[in-house]
Amino acid sequence: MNTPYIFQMMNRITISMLAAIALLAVQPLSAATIVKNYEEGSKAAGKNGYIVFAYGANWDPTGLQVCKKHMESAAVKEAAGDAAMWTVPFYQLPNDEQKIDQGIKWGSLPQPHVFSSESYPGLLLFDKNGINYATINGAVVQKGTPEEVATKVKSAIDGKLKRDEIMARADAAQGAEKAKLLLEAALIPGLNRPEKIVEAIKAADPQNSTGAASVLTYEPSAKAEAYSEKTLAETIADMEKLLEQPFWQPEQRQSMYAIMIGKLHKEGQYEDRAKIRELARKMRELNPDSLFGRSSVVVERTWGGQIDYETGWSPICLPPGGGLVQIVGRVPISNPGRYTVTFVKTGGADLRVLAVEVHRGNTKVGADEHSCVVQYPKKEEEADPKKRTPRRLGARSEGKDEANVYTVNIPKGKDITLHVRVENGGNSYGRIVIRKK
Amino acid sequence: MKLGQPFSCVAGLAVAFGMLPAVVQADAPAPGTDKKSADSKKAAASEAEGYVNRKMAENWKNPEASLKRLGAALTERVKSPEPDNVQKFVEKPANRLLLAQWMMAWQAVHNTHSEAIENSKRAAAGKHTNRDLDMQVQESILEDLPKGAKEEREVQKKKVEDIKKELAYLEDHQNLPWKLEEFAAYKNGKKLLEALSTDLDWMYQVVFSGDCSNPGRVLAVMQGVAERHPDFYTNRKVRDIATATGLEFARDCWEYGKAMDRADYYIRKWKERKLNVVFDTLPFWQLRICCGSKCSDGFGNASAGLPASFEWVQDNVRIPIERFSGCCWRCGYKLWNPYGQSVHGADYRNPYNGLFDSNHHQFTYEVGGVCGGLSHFGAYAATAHGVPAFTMGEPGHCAFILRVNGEWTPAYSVFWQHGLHWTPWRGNYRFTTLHMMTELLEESDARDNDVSYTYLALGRIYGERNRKKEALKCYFHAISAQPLNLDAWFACSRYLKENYPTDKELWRQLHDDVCKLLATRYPEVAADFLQRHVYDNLAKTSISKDEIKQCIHLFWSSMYDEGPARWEVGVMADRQMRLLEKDAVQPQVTVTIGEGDKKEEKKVDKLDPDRACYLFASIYSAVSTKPVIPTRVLDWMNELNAMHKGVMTERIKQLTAYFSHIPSGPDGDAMQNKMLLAAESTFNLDAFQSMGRDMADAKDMLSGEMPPHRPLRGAVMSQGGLVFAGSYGEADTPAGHWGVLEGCGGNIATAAEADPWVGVMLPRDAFVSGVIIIGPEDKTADRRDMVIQVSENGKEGSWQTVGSPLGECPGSISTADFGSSESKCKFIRVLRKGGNTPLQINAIYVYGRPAA
Repeated sequence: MNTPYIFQMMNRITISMLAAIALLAVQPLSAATIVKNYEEGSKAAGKNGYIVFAYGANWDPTGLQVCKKHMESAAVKEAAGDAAMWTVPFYQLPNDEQKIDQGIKWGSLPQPHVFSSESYPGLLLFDKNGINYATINGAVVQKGTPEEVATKVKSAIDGKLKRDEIMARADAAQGAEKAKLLLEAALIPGLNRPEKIVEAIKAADPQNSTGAASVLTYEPSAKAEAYSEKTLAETIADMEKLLEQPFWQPEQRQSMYAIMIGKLHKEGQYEDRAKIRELARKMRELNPDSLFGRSSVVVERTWGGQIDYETGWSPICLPPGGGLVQIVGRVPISNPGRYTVTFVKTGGADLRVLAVEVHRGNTKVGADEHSCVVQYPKKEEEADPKKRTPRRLGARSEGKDEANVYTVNIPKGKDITLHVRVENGGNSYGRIVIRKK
Repeated sequence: MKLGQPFSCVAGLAVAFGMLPAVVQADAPAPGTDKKSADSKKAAASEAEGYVNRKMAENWKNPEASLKRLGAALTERVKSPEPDNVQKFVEKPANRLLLAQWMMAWQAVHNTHSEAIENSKRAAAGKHTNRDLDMQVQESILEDLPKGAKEEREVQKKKVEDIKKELAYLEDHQNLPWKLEEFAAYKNGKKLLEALSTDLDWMYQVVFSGDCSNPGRVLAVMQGVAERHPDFYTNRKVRDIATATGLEFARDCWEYGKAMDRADYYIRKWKERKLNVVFDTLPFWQLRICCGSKCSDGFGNASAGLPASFEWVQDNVRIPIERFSGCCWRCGYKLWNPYGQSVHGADYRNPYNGLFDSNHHQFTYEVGGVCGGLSHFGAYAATAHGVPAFTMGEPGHCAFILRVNGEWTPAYSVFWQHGLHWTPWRGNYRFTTLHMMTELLEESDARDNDVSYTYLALGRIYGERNRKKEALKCYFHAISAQPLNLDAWFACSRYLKENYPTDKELWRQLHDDVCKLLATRYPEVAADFLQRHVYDNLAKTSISKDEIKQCIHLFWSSMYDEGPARWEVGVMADRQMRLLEKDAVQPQVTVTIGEGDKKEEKKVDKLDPDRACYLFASIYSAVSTKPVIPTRVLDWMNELNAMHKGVMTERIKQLTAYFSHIPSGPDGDAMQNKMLLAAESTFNLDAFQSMGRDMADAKDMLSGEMPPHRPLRGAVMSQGGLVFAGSYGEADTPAGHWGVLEGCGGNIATAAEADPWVGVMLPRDAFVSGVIIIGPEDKTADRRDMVIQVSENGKEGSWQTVGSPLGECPGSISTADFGSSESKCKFIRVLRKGGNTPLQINAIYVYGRPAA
C-alpha cells in the first residue's frame, strides 16, 4: 500500500529538521558565514565584520584554490566567529567587465593601495565600518595549513576586540590617561595602526608628557641618521639619557643600543670593543627574537674585538699593538683532548701569531707558544683544490715547517676558552680551523 | 657687432639652407610595425611545426673546420648573392637550419671570450678556497656536537652538505666545457648536441635571440639541466628554460651552480603554476631576461636573483603585473641603517651577516636600502614571478624597467636618461635599443631577418676568402634587408674599418644608410652608432667640410621625430660640432655648470659661436616642423649658450624665430602655444620651464601674487615642475601655465566637461603630504567635489585617489592635507568629479619631502 504523499512529505520534513538540528549541535553558535560579495556580506556579518580572501583572478592559477582551502576549513570558520567571508578577485590589467566584477565583490571596502605590502592570495580583515584592521598574507597563506591561518585570524580578531575595548575607555578618558590608553591600543601586535591616532594622542597630550607620541613616531634609521654627524661622546650621552625615559618600548631601546654600538664601531678605539659586547648583550636581553636581538649576536662577534670562529679574523678583531684575543662563537672544544688550531690567511697583510693559549676563567691553563707568520700558501698548491687543506694552506715560518698549526690540550671542565696572542694588528684577514686530534 | 649684423648672418644661413632639399615631409608616416606577408606567416607556421633534420648532424669537434665546410655549403646553395637567390634560399627550412649551424660555428670560433673565462675560473678558484675553509670549520663544529643533540646535528649536517654541494658546483664551473669543441668531446654531450643542432627552431633560439657567447658553456648548462630533469627532451618549456638560462649564464661567465639553481627554480615554479600567467607565453628572448636575473654572491643588490630571494618574493610579493613598478616602495628608503652605518659602506649589511641567508629582498624590506636596493627589489620581484624586468642606470640613480601589457615601462625613474643594464646583444646599451630589439625579435617579418642574416653570413664568408667586392655587397644588403639588425651594422662597420679605413665613398654610403634606414624611427640608436662606429672614420677620409655639413643635415632631416623615447640630442650635436672641423683638436676652456651644491667645473672645447650657430641652424631647419624634437634641440643650444655666458642669446632667438616661421602677433602666439602644449604632453620639463617662463614674461605675467595661505607640512615640491591638463578650454592661456606652479600664480583651464582635471609633474619623486589649490574667487562652484590623485607615470589608468574628497569649495583656496598619510608619487592631479563646467586653476602648490 502506498504511503500517502503528505505523510511522505512529512517524513522528509521531519528527517530534514532532525538533520538540521544535528548539524546545529556541532556548529558554533556564531559561525562565520560564507557569502558571495560585499552586499551579501554586509547583511550577514556580525560583530567580527568581514574577512575578504583576495586572490589573483586572471594571473595567478592557484590563488583561488588556496583561498578556498582556508576559507572553507572548519578551523578558519571557527576562528572567524560571526564574520562574513568571501573571496574577491584582484585582476591584472582588468578590462571593463572585470572592473565591474571586482567592484561588485569588493563593494565599498577599500582595495589595497599600490604601495602597500599587498600580496595575493591574502586575507584582509575589516570591521563593520569597512576599516581594514589587519592583513594576513605571505608564506602562512601560501604554504600554511588552515589551522595556522586560523590562528592568525583568531589572534587578529581577539586583538581587535581588545583594541576596541581600550579605545572605548580612551574615549571616556582625558589628557595623559587618554594618551596612554591610545598608545596601548596602537601597540597591540598584528593589527594595522588606527588612522590619525598620533594626532589624537597629540591632542590629548600636547606636551608629550607621556611620551606616547614619541613612541609612535620613533623610526630607528631616522634616529641613527640624526646622530651620523654627532660625536661619539654626544651620542653615548644622549642615548643613555633617552634610555632613562620609562616609556620607550623594547625595540626602541634596542635601537638606542644599536646607535651606540654603531658609533663605537666607527669611531671608537680597540678598547671600546668590550663596551660593544656589553651593549650587544643588553640589546639582546630586551628581545632576543627581534631583528635587533638576532643581529646583536652578529655585532657582538664581529665588532666585539674578538675572533668569531665561524668568520675568522679581520682588522677590527686585532689589537693595534698586538695582544691577546679570544676566539668566540661556536668554538669546537667541548670535549677534553688534544686539538690542532690552524691559521690560514685569506687577505690583506700577514699575521704574526705568537701563541695559542687555553684559559679556564681568567687563568691560563695551557698553551702552544711558538711564533709564526701566517702568509698565503705556496703557489703550486693553490691551483689544485684537492690539495687545499688547512695544514697545507699555511705559512712557513722562520725555519719551521707547518708553523701555522698549533697544538693544545683542552682540559676537562667548564669555562674553557681559547685565545690567540698576536704580535701585530693591521689589515689582515684569515680563518682558523680547530680539529680534535 | 652692429645691430643688423646678427640678422644678416641669419639671412645668410637661411639662403644657404634654402639650397638644401627637405628630406622629410611634414606629414611623414607615423612609425609602425611591418605587416607580415602571407608567405612569411606560412613560413612561421612551418617553423612552429618544428623542422628537424638528423641528416644534417654535424661533427662539432673542430668548429673552424665546421665553419669552412658549412660556409662552402651555404655559398653553394645560395649560388650567387643576388636578392632573388637569397630570398629563395631562406624559404627552405633546410637552408635556414644550415644558416643557423653556420652561425653557431661562427660563434664558437669568434665569440668565445678566453680572458673572461679565465677571470671567471680564477674567481671560482678563490671562492673554492674560502668555501673549503668554511666547510672545514663547519665540519669541526659538527664533530664537536654531542651525539644526543639530534636536531642540532641535523641542521649542522645540512650546512656541511650545502657547502659540499657548492664546492662540487665550483669544480664543475672550472672543469665543464666552455668551448664548443670541448662540449663535443664531452662524455654526455653527443645526444644534446645532435638534438639541438638538427632542430631548426631550437637553433634559432640559440643563435638568433641575442648574444651567444661561449657556446660550449651554453650547452654544458643545458646538459646539466637535462640530467636533472628527465623531461628535458619532451617538455618544451623545460627545454626553453634550460636554453635561456644557458645562454644568459654563459654570456657573462656566471657560476655553473647558480645556473642550475636558476633553471630548477623556473622549471619547478612553472610546473607548480606559481608564476604569473604571462610567463606561459613569453617570447624566447624575454624568457632570457627572466632567466638572466642577476645573482651575485653575498647579499648585495646584485644578489637579488639568488634562490632565497626569489622564494621569499614568491610568498610575499605576489601582485598583478602592473603593480610591480610600485612594489619597491613597500621598503624604506634608508641611507643609514639602525646602527648608523651608511649604505655606501660594507657595514650597512655587516650587522645582519648570516641572518637573511642571501635573501636580498627580505633584507631590503626589513632593513632598507636606497635607489639601487629598491630598484633591484622591484625588478627581481617581477622576474621571480616570470615577468621580464631589469635595472637601468640614470644620472646618479638606479631605476628599473618592466614589460607590462606590451610596453617597456620605466619604474622608480627620476630622469629621462636611461642606460640599460641588459640588452640582447652587447655593444649598445641605449634605451631605445630595447624598443628596436622588441620590434626585430617579435614584430618584424621573419623572412627579412633571415635574408639579413644570410647576407651577414655571406659577407663574413666572402671576407674570409678575400673576395672583398662580394663581401661588401653582402654587408650592405644585410643592412638594407633588415635595418633593425644591429649585428649587421656592427659587422659592416668593422669590415670597412679593417679593409677600407679611408674610403670616403664607402663610409659615406654607410653613413647615409644609417640615416635613411635607421635614423627614421630609431634616431638614438642611429646616433649612437654614428658616434661610435662611423664619425671617427669618416673624419679620417678625404671628405670635405661641405660634405660633412650635408651628412649632418641628412641625419636630422631623416628622423620622423625623436623616436620611442627622449634621448641625448645634445651629445650628438656636440659630437657633430667637432666633426665639422674633421675632429681637429680644439683648444679647451674651463666652464662652470650647475647651480648651488650641484655646481661643478668642467673642461670643454672652446666655443666658436659661428660654428655653433651654424650647426644649430642646420639642425633646427631640419627638424623645425616635427612635433617634439625642436624643443630638444633648443634645450641643447640654450645649455651650450648658458655654459658660455649667453654670448649667443640674440642669435638663437632670431634663428629659432626664423626657422619656426614664428611671426609676431596672434599667429606667433598660436605657434608658441602649440609648442608649449607639445612640451606638456610629452612631459618635457626642461622645455616647459624655459618656454613657459619666457611666454609668461612676454605677457607680463610674472609679477602676480596669490592670496596668502597656511603652508602644509614639508616643503613645496611642485615648484620647477610641469603642469598639464586633460583638456584645454576657451578660458585657457598657455602663457599662464608656467605661473600655476610659482608664487606669482598663473592660469590653466580645462574644457567644459565632466571629470575635468589638472595635473602636475613634480621635478622629482616626492612623499606628498598635502596640496593647496587656488582658483578664481567667482568660480568656486566649479571646484566643488575635487579629489587628489597620484600616479607613478602620469598615464591614464595609473591614477589612484588619495585622501578624502575636498567637498565644497569655500573660497579661492582649497586645501588637501594628508596629515601623516603621505603618498609617494611623481605625478599628482586635481580632478573635479562630475559637473559640466571647466576647471580653472590659478595655482597648485604640492607640499611634501623628496623621495629620492
